Amino acid sequence: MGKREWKLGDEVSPLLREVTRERIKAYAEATGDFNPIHLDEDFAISTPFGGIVAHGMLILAYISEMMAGAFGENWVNRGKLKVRFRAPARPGDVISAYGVIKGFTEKDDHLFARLEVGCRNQVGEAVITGEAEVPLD
Amino acid sequence: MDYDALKVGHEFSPDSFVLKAGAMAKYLEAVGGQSYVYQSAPPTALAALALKTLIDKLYLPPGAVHTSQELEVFGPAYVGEELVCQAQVAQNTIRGGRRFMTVEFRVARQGGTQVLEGLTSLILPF
Repeated sequence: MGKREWKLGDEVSPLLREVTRERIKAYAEATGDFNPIHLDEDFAISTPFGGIVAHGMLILAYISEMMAGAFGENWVNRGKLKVRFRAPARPGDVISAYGVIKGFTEKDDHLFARLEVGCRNQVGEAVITGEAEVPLD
Repeated sequence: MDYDALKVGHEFSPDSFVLKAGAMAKYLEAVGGQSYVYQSAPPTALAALALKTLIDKLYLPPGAVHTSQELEVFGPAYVGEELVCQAQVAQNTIRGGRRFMTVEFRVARQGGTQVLEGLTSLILPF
């Protein structure tokens, strides 16, 4: 993967993923998080969410995958994230993960990019908002 | 679980977990991920597996909601590695009939090399 010169305002290639019950179930099996709000329709209907919602960490993983695609091992081995979960993602939602370069920081002789990152659903609602930081060298 | 007893600073006993190939495969199935081609576990997979050890300790009630997450990676972790998760309570307050809890956690290799740090905030129903 060639190194890219990032500039202020540059956008990371977005990542699109459909939320499905199968993917939610796979995530539960991978992580051991079997909270019924993610898996049991009858239970989930009785909650304020009114139905099954995806794990917040599953949707956050889309941001991580997007960052890995853009920054490779620098992200996977040295990335930093700070996010808030704003709205639930439900089966059938199409999530778009985005990232925009907001600035650069030099720390210990290394250059870091700071990004605004997040996820939106198919109607543009914010599902996750936050910041990420990744070394560029 | 007596959540009132979890004062700020309460340290949970450390827990070890192994990065298993099966869990990584399921994670990638769920995420549609490619980052595993970089050989080390994706940051959010690491964090999720570390949080699993906390979920087991906290006996989170059904309906608990994840409200925010911070994480920082310090180095790669590979399939087959045994890692240790240590965690402590950073916040535990009740407002508007709901419990707001924040837990700090650190993941390290058995020899002590730090791999990941995180901060997880939850709302627990009464």
